[in-house]
Amino acid sequence: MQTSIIRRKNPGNRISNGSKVFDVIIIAVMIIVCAIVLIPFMRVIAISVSDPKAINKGMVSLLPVGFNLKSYEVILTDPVLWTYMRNTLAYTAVGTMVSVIFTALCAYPLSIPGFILKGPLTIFLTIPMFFSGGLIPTYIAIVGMGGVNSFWVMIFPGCVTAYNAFIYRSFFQSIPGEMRESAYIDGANDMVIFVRIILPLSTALLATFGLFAAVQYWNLWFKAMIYLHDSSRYPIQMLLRRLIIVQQMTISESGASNMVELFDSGELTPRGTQMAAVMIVMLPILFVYPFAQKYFVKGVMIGSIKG
Amino acid sequence: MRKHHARLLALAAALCMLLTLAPIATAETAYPETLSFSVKNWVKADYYNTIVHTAWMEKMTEYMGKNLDITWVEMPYDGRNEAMKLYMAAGKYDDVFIAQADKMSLQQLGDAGLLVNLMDYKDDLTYYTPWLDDNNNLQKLSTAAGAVYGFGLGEIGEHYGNQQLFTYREDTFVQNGLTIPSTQEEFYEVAKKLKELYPESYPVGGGLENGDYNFYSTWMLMNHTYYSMYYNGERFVYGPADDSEAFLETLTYLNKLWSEKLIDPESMSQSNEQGYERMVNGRNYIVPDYWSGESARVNIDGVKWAFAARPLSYKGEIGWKFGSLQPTFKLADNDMMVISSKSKVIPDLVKFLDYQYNREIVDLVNWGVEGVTYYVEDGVKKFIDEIRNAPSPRAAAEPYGLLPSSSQFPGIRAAKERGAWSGVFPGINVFADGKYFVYDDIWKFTHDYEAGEESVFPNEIAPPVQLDEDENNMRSEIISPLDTYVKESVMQFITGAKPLSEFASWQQTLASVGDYPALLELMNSKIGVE
Repeated sequence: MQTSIIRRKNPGNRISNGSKVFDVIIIAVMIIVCAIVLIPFMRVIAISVSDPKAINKGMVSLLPVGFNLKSYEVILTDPVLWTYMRNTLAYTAVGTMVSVIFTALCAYPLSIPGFILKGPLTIFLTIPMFFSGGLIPTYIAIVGMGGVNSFWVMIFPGCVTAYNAFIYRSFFQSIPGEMRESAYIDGANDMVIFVRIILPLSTALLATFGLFAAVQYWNLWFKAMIYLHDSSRYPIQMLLRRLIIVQQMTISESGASNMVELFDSGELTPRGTQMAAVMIVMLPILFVYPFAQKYFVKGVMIGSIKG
Repeated sequence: MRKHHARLLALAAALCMLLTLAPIATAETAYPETLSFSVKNWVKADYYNTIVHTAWMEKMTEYMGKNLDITWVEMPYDGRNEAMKLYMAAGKYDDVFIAQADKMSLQQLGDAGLLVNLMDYKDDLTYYTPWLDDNNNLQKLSTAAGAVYGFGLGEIGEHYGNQQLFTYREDTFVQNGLTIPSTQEEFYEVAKKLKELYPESYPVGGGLENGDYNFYSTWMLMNHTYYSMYYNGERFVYGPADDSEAFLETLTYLNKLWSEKLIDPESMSQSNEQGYERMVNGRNYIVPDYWSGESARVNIDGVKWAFAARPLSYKGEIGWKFGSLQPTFKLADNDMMVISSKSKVIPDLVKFLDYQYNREIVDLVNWGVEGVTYYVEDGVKKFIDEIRNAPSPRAAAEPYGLLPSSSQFPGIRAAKERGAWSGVFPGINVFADGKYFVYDDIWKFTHDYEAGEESVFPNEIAPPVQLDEDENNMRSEIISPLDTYVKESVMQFITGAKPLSEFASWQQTLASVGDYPALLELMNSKIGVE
């Protein structure tokens, strides 16, 4: 993210000393922040490609010691990883689309002046922002609806949040009403206006919240843990959780026996395998971010500034 | 003509129907009836159609005299705690599910009528009853009202060994002519010598993070005391108050090790990975209570560790140890297979699950099929060479679907037989009888070299105590703050933050933190001791 530095100019068009000091402070703080973010990342990469013996001895800090890609080879050649990755891609792609479209559909009517249900619906959406039914009632409701072990249980619950809906509503309200009125005059109905006028004008909004939704769906694991009975439907985060938090050093639940053998023989180390798994899971979403960056910068202030 | 075509069409349809029905009509079915039920377990037992699970299905089909239609409802093993709590709270259960929860929670579900009380089917528990009758299991699993709501996870032991042992850097000891200590005084001397040889090191490390196997607990047990309430073989006592001499002796000894920088100060808060690192990079040379199953992890690059019997107590007696096996049938009261009271096939399920405690089934899931996965030599079962001599026996056992592989769960929660589990761990380097050698059975070493039953922590074989909800709450309210206070104080004594001269006055403060005398009175009254 670029930081714009405001230069205050004195009447003689020279940069003041105060401005320079301020710039230096900003740059120093940002360097520290970048270091705080980058150092753990460098360590993860270093451990994931280092020699297992060096890892066991604690010799690896920010740079690799030796070079060994065995951890990557073992993880990437396990078919279960690709099943989990495929599932995550499906949940992310479908979930992002569902989240963005449904939120927009929820918010657009609330942005139209004179909509008679605007007040009641706004209250209806506001209450769950502050009060939640809780985990157990939610679980019972999902079970009762037959959502357990289905694809859609990973998509629908939580795809629309009231908070996001209100932000969408604020943005839609900033689109001039005259455009809608002229479209009515030309014979367009509400759905045509929404699809052909409102949505194209909301690219920054949709891209920003699409990115947020994509990250949310990419990181899903808790719903998988409580609602999915079939491990072939698990997302990739369940793999990470198993390796890192639970430290059950197998990928598939049946046990990747070659990993146990490799640990016992010293060809692999659990720490190296865990870090390799972190890299494999992190890379796809990292790859997407630069492409969405321009929308992110534009969209991050949406709904926060009036006029 | 049209009528003719219609008739031909109807005839063709009828023939098609007959053809599709024919396979059903003519196929051989083993039994006329089918038993259908669902099981919630954390691994689908038929995941790979292994030899062992296939054999198990055949045996169960034959025993039940019905075809089996089991729906395996999977629960992630690594999320079982959170997922199981939610599952149990929701109240919508499969016919059978594995409940890993404290006894009080299971009792509440049972008393609410959600679980089957096995005592209503007592006459049908042909194979489970001998387990219940052994080792006070019935008292352990039953509620105050005498109900038993589940089939506890079983374990068959053959001796009193365990897997947590003292381990020493064999290569360093041999290189420097050091002797493995057999008393606490010798232990201190050798640690001091190691510090002189390697000033940058902290000779005594902490091994793995392991819950209650913390550093001072090990030494307290060796000296026949404990930091909390425990059963001492005769009655329940409170260690910090009732074992003054042993407790103070332990603190004094550990304080001596600490003040001379012989104990690694980070050992009590390190992660497993840090523990391994310190065992191979020369920071630690002695680790009390290290899990012998992980020895391969730290024997690398010329580093060699050897296990040995723990030093004797300060009085020269055999010390107690955690996690001892027992040559009995052991049942867990917080890990049970339970039957939903809403199931439509309860009597069949009772019979089905009861049979899991038959020795035939236990042998099948632990040892496999004779002649295929194991053989019997002089009355002793041994895994085939392909498994026993593999670089990783556990990995070699997995394709067969054997329970000791730790990654296969054939059947439904059959009991573990520790003899089989020893067979899938490679031998360990040990020091005993004055020499270093490889000992085959990692579970049995402490039984043979730490005087067997004498070293069992009596609290682990305490008589079961039945507490109702109020009494259980009273116990928690007293013991939780006391444990926290004692743990903090113990560390202060060890590190010198609190002088040992204040020990006696500190003991006087215990009762004000938690009314342990009242708790001891309650617990001892339950076992008939005054």
